[in-house]
Amino acid sequence: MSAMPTSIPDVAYHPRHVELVKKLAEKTRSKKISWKASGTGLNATVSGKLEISFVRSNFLTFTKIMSGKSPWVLFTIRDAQGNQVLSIDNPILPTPMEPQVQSAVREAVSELYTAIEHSLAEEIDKAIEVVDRI
Amino acid sequence: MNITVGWSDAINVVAILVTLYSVWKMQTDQEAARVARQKLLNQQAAEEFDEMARGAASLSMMIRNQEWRQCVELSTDLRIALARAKGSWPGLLTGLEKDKLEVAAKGVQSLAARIPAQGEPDGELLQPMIEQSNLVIDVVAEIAGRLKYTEEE
Repeated sequence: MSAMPTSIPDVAYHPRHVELVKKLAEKTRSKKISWKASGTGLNATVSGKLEISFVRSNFLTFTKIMSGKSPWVLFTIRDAQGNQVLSIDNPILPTPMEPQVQSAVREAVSELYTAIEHSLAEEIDKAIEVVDRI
Repeated sequence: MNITVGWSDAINVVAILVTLYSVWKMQTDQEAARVARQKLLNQQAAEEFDEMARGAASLSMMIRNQEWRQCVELSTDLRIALARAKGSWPGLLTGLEKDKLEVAAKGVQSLAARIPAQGEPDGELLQPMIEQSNLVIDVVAEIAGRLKYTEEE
């Protein structure tokens, strides 16, 4: 798969990109991929061959409430050499020249983001269990 | 069988030992120089990212105060600094940090496009503009912090 710069419009994304992102969501739900959260970043490594990352905003409360928008801002997949395989943005302020389109690939990435949020929330359940056992 | 060791042999052995020591010392010095150079680069980069975080904080404040002329100046300075950082420090940044820098650069670009040449921007845009500048503060400050931490390791 070739490198895909972020500026390419959504229509340029291939259905295989959607398939790839959906598979990542599936593997996240089945706990085959473990994600690490740090500040504005979320990242995971798949079999040491792919590095997947999200940049997210912690300040999207207002916008999220108003539009139901997911707080991720940029999603990227890189190969082991650091080359970009896929990059999709979800800007807070789309430029007037490039209006935001809710494409299938962006929706798939939002689904993946939700799956990660759920898996990270399970860590809190585990912590509660640990405290309960005292 | 008699083995005779003369002065010349002893001198040869000493010469070999001195050569080996010189090679080892040179490699150690080169490694020390490389580490020192890396620390210096990290320090410079950390300072630049710190400066950008402060610039983004000022921009956020100016948006809140709706001082659009200062917003134009600050966002232009920030765009230049972010573009320069993208070119200057790619070797120091992780994949995720490169993404964060990309987000910051695009964010400031889209912010600058929304600053009105005259009058006020659309009222609904004010909050997302503040959120955008706050995200820029966060991402560049995180990069500065990581570089600073590596420098002190």
